[in-house]
Amino acid sequence: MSTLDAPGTPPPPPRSAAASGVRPLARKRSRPSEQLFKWLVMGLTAITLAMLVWLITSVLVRGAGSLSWAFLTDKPSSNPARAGFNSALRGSVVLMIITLTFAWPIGVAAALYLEKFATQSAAGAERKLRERLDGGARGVRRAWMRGRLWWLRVRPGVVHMVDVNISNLAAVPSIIYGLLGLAIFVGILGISKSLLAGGLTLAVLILPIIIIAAREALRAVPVSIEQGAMALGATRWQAVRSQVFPAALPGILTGTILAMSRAIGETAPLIVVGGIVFGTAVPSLNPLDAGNEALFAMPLQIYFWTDQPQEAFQAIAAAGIIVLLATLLVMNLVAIILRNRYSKRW
Amino acid sequence: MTTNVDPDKTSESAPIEIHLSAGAAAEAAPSAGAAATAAPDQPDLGPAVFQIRDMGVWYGNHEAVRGVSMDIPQNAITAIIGPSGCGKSTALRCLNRMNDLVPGARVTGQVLFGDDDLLSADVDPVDLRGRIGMVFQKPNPFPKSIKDNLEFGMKVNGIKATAERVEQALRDAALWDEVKDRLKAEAFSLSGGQQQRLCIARAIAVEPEVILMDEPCSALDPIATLAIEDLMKKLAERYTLVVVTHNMQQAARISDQVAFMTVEGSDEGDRTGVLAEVGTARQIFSAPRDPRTEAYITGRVG
Repeated sequence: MSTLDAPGTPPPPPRSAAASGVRPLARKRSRPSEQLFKWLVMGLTAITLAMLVWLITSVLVRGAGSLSWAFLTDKPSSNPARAGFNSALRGSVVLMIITLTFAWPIGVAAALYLEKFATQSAAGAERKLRERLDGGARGVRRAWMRGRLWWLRVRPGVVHMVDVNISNLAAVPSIIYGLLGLAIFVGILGISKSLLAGGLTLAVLILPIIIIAAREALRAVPVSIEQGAMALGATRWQAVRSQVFPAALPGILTGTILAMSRAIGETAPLIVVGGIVFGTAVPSLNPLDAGNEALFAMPLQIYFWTDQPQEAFQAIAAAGIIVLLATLLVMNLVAIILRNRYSKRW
Repeated sequence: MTTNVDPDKTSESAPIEIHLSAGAAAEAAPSAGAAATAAPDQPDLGPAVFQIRDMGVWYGNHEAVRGVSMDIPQNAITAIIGPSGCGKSTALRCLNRMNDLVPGARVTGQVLFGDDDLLSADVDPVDLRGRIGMVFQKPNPFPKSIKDNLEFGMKVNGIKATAERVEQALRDAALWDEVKDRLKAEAFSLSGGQQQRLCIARAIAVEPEVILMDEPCSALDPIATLAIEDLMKKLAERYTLVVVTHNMQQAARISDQVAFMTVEGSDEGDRTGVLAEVGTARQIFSAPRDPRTEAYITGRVG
């Protein structure tokens, strides 16, 4: 190898590298633009992290002193020294139960339909319907078949419209959902301004998020799994229920938890639906009573406390924020663990 | 579920076959002349399970396959070979109506399975797929245990999933000895070749009459490929096999009958797959009648 450095030294020169025409390798050199870019992105990341650290430390410093077991178990009070977070905690738990109960089945069903059934080939079904119509179906059956034919024709357009709008809905400001909830659940359905109305509103709010997450999880399951099942003589529903859905479930659950952690921090729609509650009631943990319970929730209680002039309330508001952040952290941790544990490499 | 195609019935349908071939020949594009009359030209390898007559596939406005006519003999291996993009897999997927799942796909012509045209709108594709199994190019076990993989097909076909049936299917697929101690293990923990044999076992477990294989070895190494080929030869004693392969040596090694498909371009640049020639493996590889077959097997066209 040293022949390159010393082309003149003869003893064993079976072949000279210089003679082969291979150019010497370039030495390492610095690339200023590369460096600049690296420092830029590092700097911007640092700013983001610094904001987060600042937020958390300031909350911890102000609120840690008020954190105690009694803070979690005491009911609200106009005396900051005695005021507790218990009603807000209970309210949030019930809200999450109601939200999940309504949003999950509807959202997952919508995702299943949009992803697995709405786009399937309709040529066969259409041909069969036409044959039966020509075969002389009468009366109600004829009308029903005509209706189905019409649906098959307009379905692609409708599905496309729904597609676009679900993505739009996920970006609608949450206060709009509050107004919607107020109009529908309180106004039309006549539900009182309660935990139930709040939970339903949050369910509508996270519905598009759950649908989008579930669709992505379903799409991540390779189509070969579904085809493999159907090639064995399974119907599409059997293939989806027994193979595709279980394979997508961890992803769906991860998305659901992230949607729930959005819902648990929402304040604006709850203010619209339930107003700011100040009461000393302790809501029942039974979700079936939610229609009669005043709308308590962690973010609402925090908002109420920060609005108070007394300095002491600011401290317990910070303590409330710590509890809310801790809850969020736990939920996101569960989502991450789920994802890492059950995510499949296809 | 153990129904076999009755040989008598198949021979009864012979007059229909002649009639259909004649009709097909009259309508077929000039270049497909050889294909349309394929059935009479074909070697006699026993009773036919499938009688394919002037089958074509459209994807929207694109004609992917045109004028395929051939018989597929029972308990034999039929290999479909040809250059990539010639529609071999597309043609294969007509035989168990998997093209139904492709939006915009339309299959024309006739495929008689026994006496019935399986392309007919009133044939239930779900039931049909229980009788005509399929193995895919890339092993696609379900992300569950080995046992679950076998039991799923049995359940949806109303077969009681007993331990004996699971064992038998795994033995038939030459996988039993390797997995008997870990039936509860994830199917994904198996090697690629084992996964493909599991997929074959899964297909056998539902007791089909025909097994379609779409390039079953293309994702496997040579040793796993040999194992699958041996398995195919064994399976042909009990099942009718139709195998798509791009590997001519493989077709020569395993098949009784070979169908060679090729591509015809139109003036508009549309490329359509057609059947050039059907014959015994020996005839196709030693004395091809169609110049396109000869060009392909001698390596002059890729």
